[in-house]
Amino acid sequence: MGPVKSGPPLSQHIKGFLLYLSLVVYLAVVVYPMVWLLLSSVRKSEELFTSESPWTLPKHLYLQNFGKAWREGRFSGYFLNSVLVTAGSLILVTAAATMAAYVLGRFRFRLNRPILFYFLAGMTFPAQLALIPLFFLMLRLHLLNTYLGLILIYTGASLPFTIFVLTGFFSTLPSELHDAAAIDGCSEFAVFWRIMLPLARPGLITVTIFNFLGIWNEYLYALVFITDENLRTLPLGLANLAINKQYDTDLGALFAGVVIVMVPALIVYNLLQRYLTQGLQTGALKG
Amino acid sequence: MLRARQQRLLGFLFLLPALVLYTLFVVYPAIQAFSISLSLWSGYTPEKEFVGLENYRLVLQDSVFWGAIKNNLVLIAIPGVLTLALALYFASTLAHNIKGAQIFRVAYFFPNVMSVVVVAIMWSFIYHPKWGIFNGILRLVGLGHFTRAWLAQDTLIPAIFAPSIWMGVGFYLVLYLAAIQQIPQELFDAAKVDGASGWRIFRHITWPMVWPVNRIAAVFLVLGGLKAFDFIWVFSYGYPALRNHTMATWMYQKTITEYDMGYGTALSVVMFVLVFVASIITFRVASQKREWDQ
Repeated sequence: MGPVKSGPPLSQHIKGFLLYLSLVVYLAVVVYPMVWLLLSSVRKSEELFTSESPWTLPKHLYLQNFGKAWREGRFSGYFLNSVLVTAGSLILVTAAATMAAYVLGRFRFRLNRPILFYFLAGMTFPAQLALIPLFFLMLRLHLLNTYLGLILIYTGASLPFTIFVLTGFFSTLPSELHDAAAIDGCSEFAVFWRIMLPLARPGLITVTIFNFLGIWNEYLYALVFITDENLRTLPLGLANLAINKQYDTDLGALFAGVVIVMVPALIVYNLLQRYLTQGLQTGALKG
Repeated sequence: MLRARQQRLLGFLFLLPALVLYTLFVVYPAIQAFSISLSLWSGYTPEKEFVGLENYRLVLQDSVFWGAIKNNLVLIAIPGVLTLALALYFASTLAHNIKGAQIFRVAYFFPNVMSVVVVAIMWSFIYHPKWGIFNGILRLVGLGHFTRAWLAQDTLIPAIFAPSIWMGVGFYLVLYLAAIQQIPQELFDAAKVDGASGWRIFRHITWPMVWPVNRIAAVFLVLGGLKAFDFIWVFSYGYPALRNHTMATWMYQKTITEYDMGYGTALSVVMFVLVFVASIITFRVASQKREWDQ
C-alpha cells in the first residue's frame, strides 16, 4: 500500500483501493490499444468498415490478413530487409565500439580523453545535421539504396552512445586481472578476448538491446536513404502503406503489418527487460 | 618493453575501425553541413553558389521556422510535464510492495519499445472519427458532440500529446523508481509513525530524492522534443500544414521535397546549435548530481 495517513481503517482501505484502481486503469490505457490492434489484425476488413463502434469483438477469426500482408503487402521482403540491416548494423557497431571502448576505458595514454570526447560529441548531433551531406556522400559512394549504406549510417549514428556506455563499463573492471594474465604470458589480445570481454557481457547485452530497439524501429534515415520499394525496412514499408492510404482497400492487412513490426520488439523486451531496466537505472543513478 | 609496444599496437588497431566509421559517416558530413549552409544549392549541380550567411538571415525571418520552434516547445512542455507527473505518481505508488508491481512496471514500459511509426499508426486509428476508441469513449461518457476527426490540421499538434505521453510514461517511471528505491524504507515508516500525511511524505522525502531524475528527464524531453518528426509526419500523411511544422519536418520539406539544400541545411545547423546547448546543460546536470549520489 502507498503511504497513507494513519486514521480509521476504512479511509485507509479506500485510499489503497483508489491507488490500486488508478494503476489498473492506466494498465488498461496501455494494453487496450494493443489488444484492439491484435483483434483488428484477425478481423475481416469489411467488418471494420461497417462497424459503428470500437468495442465489438471480431465475428470470425480471419488469419488470412497475415498471409496477405506477408505476401501481397510485401511484408516478407520488408521483414528480411529489417533483419539484415539490423543484424549487420548491430554486429558492426558492437565490434567497433567494444574495441574502441576497451582501449579508452583501460589504457592510459595522452590522447585518451580527447578521443573519448571526440566520440561523445556525436551524441549531440541531431540526425538532421548530417542528413543532406550524408545523402550526397552515399550517392558518390554508390551506397544509396543498399543494405550496406544503411548499415554504415546506423553504425555511425549508434557509435557515440555505445562507446559511451561500454567505456564506462570497461573502466570499472579490476586491473589486477589484466596484470595477472599478463604475468602468466597472455598476449594483450588474449587478455581482451578471454578475460575482459566475458566480464563485459552484461554491458554488451544492455547496449545491444538499446541499439536493437533503436535500429529496428528507425524511420527517418530509412525514409531518406531507401527509395527502392524492394529495400524498404519494416517501419518504412508500414509508414508508406499508411501515408499513401493504400490501406483503404485492405485495412486488415495493415493491422497485420503493424503486428508484424511490433512483435519482435515486444519479444526482445520481454526476454531481456531485466538488462534494459537495470542498465537504465544504473545509468540514471550514476549520471 | 615488448609489452608496451604490443599494447600500443593493439590500442591503435582497436581504435581504428570506430574512428574511421565515425569520422567518415558522422563527423565529415556534419562539418560539410556548415559549408552547404553558406550556399545556394539545389543538389542537382556540382557547383554551389556561395551566399555567406544569407540562409541564416532567411531562417530567422521565416515565419514557418518560428512557428515550428513554437510547436517544438509546445511538444516539449505540455506532454513533457504530464508524462513526468504520471511517471512520478506511478513510481511512488509502485515503490511500496504493491501486489503485481512487476507486472505494472513491465507493461507500462511496453509502448516505449515500439516504433514511433507503429504507435502513430495505432493512434491514427484510435483517433478515427467513426470507429476509433477515442471518440468511442467520448460517446460512452455522453460527450458525443465533441467527437471529431482529431487528426485534421486544426487539432494535429494537440493530438500528438496523448501518444507521446502514452509512449514516455513507462520510461521515466523506471528512472524515478530507481531513485525512490534508494530511499531507506525506515524513513517512510518513521514519517508514518509521526503521523505525516501522504502528501507531506511525498513533498519532504520523495520529491527531494527524485529531483536529480527530474533534471535528467527534462534534458531527455528537451532533446527528444527538439527533434520531433515521426508523429507529425505519419499523422499528416507527410503534408503538415505550414503552421503545423516542427524544425525537423520543415527541414525535411525544404531539402528533400523542395531541393533548397542551402536553406534546409542552415535550418539543421540551427537545430544542432539548440540541441548542443541543451546537451551542455545535460553534462552540467550530470556532474552536479554526484553530491546526491555520494
